[in-house]
Amino acid sequence: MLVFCLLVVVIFSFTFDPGSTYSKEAAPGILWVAFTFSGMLGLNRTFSQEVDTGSIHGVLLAPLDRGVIYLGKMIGSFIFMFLVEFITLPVIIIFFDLNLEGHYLQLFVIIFLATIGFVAVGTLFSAMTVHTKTRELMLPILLFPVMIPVILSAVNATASILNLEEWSKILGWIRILSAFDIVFITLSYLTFDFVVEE
Amino acid sequence: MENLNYLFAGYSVFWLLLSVYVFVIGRQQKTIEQEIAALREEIKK
Amino acid sequence: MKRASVLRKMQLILGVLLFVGMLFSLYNVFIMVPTEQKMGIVQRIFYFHVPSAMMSFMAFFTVAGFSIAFLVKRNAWHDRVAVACAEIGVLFTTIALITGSIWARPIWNTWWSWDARLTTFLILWFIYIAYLMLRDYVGEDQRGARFAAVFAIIGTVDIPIVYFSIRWWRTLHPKPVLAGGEGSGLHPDMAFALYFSMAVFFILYLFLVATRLRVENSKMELEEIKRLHVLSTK
Repeated sequence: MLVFCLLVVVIFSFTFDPGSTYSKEAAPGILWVAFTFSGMLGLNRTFSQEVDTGSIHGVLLAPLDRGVIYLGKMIGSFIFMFLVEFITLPVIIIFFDLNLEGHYLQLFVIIFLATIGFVAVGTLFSAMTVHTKTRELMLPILLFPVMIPVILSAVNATASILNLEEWSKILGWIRILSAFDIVFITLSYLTFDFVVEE
Repeated sequence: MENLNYLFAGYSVFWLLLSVYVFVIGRQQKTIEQEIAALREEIKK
Repeated sequence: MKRASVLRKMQLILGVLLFVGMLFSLYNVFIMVPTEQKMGIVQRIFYFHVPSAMMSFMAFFTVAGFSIAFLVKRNAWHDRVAVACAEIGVLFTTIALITGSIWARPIWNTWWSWDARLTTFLILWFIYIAYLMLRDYVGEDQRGARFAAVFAIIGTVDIPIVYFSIRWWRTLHPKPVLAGGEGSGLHPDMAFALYFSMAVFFILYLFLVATRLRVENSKMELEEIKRLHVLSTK
């Protein structure tokens, strides 16, 4: 997952002429392409091991509300994806010669919220796609259209952070991302039971 | 009468898609009904 | 089965209504209504384009409604209604997208524009294509129905968020405003033609649903016969 993410960044950064103004405009897009594609790879494996070995039944037998299993899986995916992003980010900054000038906190908030939204829906969907014939293909087909608000907000907010704009400029995006996160964590928490029941 | 071809294209698309869809479900219906009839025959024997 | 005869009757009555209504609506659109001054004759696409768009929303709300009902009551028939409506919704969305694009070409001078409504519709289309694919790939058992129902609920909630996020994005980067065709100052004849056409499209929608449900009903009947047959031969 990490290697894949780094590869995407490297390939895109040398495809664009280094130092050209064009590459800086493309940077937010490339950043999120790398994050979402590698996140997708990670999500694909969220449930595959349990389902293939059958240990998923053991997990489901645990005397817990199933929503808690969902939350656990979601937090696990989140930590994984966040780590990958944390390592990839400096690489992107170096290769694209980006200048953040102390706007780290803004970027952190955006990445945090967008990643939460991504894994919130992604975990629910990956619990479904493990049962389909073509797991790796089905997850992106389900997830990408639903993820449009997250990707759109993340890319645009990142672009304005890279232009060193004020907090107020990204506030709207933060609002959309937070709304998305709250709505879909709640909804996934409630519907997860229907997905895993036998 | 400018742009008449666009108007024509728009309505053709509508009728084309609609008739293709109705045709497809009609055919599905027919195959299933035939299958049901064949099975019923089989069971009677 | 009782359901089969009800559906057949519905199909027949709606078919007759549809035929008469459609003829009248076509008369409205091509003969009765005055030609719009700014856009010319192409504007007549409007009377079929807008109702298609409305019917696709109608279809997808039905899908969401029956998906929730299915998850709560576990009645297999609710799930069948949801699939039927999803398919018909995709049909209407495709029609709305293509006719809209054909209308846009001479008026806005472009086939496509990333405005909030258009983009939302495109995403809607993708979500429901994904819905149908998901069912296909899981196979036709209980599990597929459950997954599809959950996905439909998530998709339906997502649509307004998509719309608002795109609108927010577009207000940040203002683009040439698209000339609005509907709403203010619609000639009474035009308004009548539009409303009438909407009613006809609603009948068309119901007709398609009835036709599609007959297929589902026959499929269930076939499965039932197969099951009984297997039991009796054992």
